[in-house]
Amino acid sequence: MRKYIIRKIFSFIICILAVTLFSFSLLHLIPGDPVRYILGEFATEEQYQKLKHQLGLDKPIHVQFINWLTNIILRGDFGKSLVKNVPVSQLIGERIVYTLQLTGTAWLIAFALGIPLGIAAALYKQTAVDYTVMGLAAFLMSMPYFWLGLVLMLIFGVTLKILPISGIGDWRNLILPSLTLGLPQVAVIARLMRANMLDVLDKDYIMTAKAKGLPNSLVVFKHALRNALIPIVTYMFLQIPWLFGGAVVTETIFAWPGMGRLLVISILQRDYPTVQALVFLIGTLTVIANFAADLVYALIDPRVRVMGEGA
Amino acid sequence: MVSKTIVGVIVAIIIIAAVVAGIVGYYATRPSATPSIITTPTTPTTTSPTTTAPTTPAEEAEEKVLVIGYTRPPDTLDPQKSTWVDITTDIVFARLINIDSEGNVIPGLAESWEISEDGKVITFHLRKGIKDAFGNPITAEDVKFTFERFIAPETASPSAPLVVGTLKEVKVIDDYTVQFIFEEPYGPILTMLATMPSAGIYSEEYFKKVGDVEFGTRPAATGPYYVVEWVRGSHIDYAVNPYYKRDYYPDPVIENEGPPYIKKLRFRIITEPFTLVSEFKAGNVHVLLEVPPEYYKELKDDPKVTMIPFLEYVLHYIGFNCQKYPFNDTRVRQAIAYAINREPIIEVALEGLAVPIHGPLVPTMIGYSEKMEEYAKQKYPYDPEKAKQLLAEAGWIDRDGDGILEDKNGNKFEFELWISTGELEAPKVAQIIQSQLAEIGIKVNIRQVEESAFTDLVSKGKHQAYLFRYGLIDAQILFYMFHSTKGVKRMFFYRSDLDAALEKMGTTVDPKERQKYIEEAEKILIDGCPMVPLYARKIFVAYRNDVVEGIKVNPYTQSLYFNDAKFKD
Repeated sequence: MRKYIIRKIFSFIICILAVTLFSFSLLHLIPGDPVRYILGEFATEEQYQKLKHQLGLDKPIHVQFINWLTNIILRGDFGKSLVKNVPVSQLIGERIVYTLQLTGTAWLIAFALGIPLGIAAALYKQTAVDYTVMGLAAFLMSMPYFWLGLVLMLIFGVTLKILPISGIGDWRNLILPSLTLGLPQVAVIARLMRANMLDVLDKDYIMTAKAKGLPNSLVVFKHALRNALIPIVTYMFLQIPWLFGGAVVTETIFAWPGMGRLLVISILQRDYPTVQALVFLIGTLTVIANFAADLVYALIDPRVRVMGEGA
Repeated sequence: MVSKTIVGVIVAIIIIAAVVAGIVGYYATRPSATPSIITTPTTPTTTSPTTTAPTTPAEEAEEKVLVIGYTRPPDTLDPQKSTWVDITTDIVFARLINIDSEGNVIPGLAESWEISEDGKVITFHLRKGIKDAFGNPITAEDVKFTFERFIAPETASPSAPLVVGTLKEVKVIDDYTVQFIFEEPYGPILTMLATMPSAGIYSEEYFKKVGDVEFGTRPAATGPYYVVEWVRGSHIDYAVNPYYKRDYYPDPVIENEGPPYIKKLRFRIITEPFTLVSEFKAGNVHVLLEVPPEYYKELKDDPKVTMIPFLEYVLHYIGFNCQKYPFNDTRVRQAIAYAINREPIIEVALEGLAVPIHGPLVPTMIGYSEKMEEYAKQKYPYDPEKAKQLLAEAGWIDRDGDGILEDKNGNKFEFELWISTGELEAPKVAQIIQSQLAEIGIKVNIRQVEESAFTDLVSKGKHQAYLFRYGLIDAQILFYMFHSTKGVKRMFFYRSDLDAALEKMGTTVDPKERQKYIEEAEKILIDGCPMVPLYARKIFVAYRNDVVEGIKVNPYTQSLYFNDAKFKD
């Protein structure tokens, strides 16, 4: 097990490095540069070169990358935003709270609604319950975030006036954006849960349990559910980075000051340090989520654990 | 055993989620502390409910907040470091001089000023008893500090060269007299000092207390409001400057002698127009800084909405590459000027929300000449017959009868008109131009180019003709657009007499004398026709007249005056 974990950690470090190097090169390759953005179109060549030097952007790209990386590793310093004149860590620190609020709530909604709906659909297979849940799931899955967001806003914020339209504030402000982000996930999880449940209910050991004369509820919740849940738990962790992706659109619609919008604005402004730090952060999060998924899987499924130890 | 593990994992996840939600909730709703170094003015700000919901009824009863909706998130609130000019800092900083609603230069923190004979020295006489929002006195030393930081290389201010030109030194004569010394006289200096937030004066003491980064997050200075808190990406909260006087911006349209009546402002940053307008209609946002054009019709007829129109100081035009065949022939460019009818462009593509422009300047630019606009209008009326005649003179005749003109070598008159992805209305405008030029036998192919690539390719002269815009509050824009060596590369229209006029304009400070050179440059541009000016967009500030009254807009600087605004009861 220990060997397995060490090997995983090592591969993850390489993975994060590759992601940051790739995004660093990509960002420097696309046309447009921060100096032009900062100075505007009327700047002279002399001003341009001066600022470029001042910002350290005249150095070769590999030198810039190494400097950036050593600053993070040695000093934990993500640098200063080129455009916003504030340390990047402060910019992200201010916003990560809001992003976690939004994605965390969406995540909870996804599982709190998705799992029971999936179970219900499986237990009442080919009945009105099943068709309703699966129909709803198909509808939610095929709905783009921005459309779902606007519709929810129009119904609950503008027409019924029972929820705030946009912005931050108390818990009520959180409902619409987290539903927008969470509902498509509810659909995915409900479908996944239903499929797993049906699969498990068909297994021989369920037949055996039923044949032993165990009550149906005990069979379903003790024997079937725990086995059907295993892939769902893994999925919960793998979903975390996806939520950050969907958050970009949701944050824009609901004027939510999260990291997604910061990333978009920073890319448009070619604010290299901010984009890099965010990519680094999201990359790390993805890797950790994957790692956590693997670990949890190994923990709850002895078959995986044995294979891990054997390797 | 397995089931226990699963239950354990799920319980752990729920606990972690609950803890995270708890921490997050705590941080999000915690009122932010104001730094203790700031001496609080008359109204205590430490207990202000700044991060809670914008306007719950309970709060409104305590202290009404005027909420202004805004689509563009600022990069920094330090105007000297910002890459653009906007209202979020315009209300925080008062300037030495100002521009009133009629376009005249009027006093500000300086009650008078003199310009030396050679234009290299400007002496400002400050008012006595000026204080910033925290009561720090403002004297000549603060003016010197403000501008020396502005031009210091380590500040790397993006706007300094544009705003103060070759400012070399700021000299304190006494507490209330300060001299600006320039290497070379800078033509637009008065306009710039009178309009740019980056020319706003702040207290050296305050700046040094809070430091560079904090100043860009929570600036306080001499303007009618100061920033209490900025939650990036969400909103900026302002409180009134209790020491503000009308004298700092004595525009005749402002009546209130003291600080604004409304004590608290909030700028909400909402980038999605649908959300912004929904909040406005719901009454959570009271002022729209710029009505999104697609919602103009919907809001226009709403009796609860008052709209104030103004003209954007941005000219939209067709630019030619004057070095490239066929547009290297003046007659060909002029022919196109005769063939363009602005009316359908404005009515159809812009739904009437623009005014036609014939000369190189827009009426809200300082230095605009009515005389030259009239000259351009008379010179190039809409006249397709005249256009055809000019083209024939230049050798463009329909030789094979297919409706498209050919030159003497049989090449068809066909060109690419580039448009930028940054302009939403450009495709429609281009199509109308396409059909208008088809009538005189010219085939236009429209090509859309991504905006940053667009300016890059155009500056390299890869284009034949394009549709784009330029804008600045002063006629100095002509210098940047058309000077052969110091300007940007766009139309490649180089003439030594034009360079001479532009240089004179750029180094003459006296407004009357400078006007002569502006008009001289304009005339060369109208006659030489490197471009066909098309229109300037009308922008609308909108406010809820059931909530607030008395908001005014300066049509030149496009500043909002909140001085006389009051809540309706």
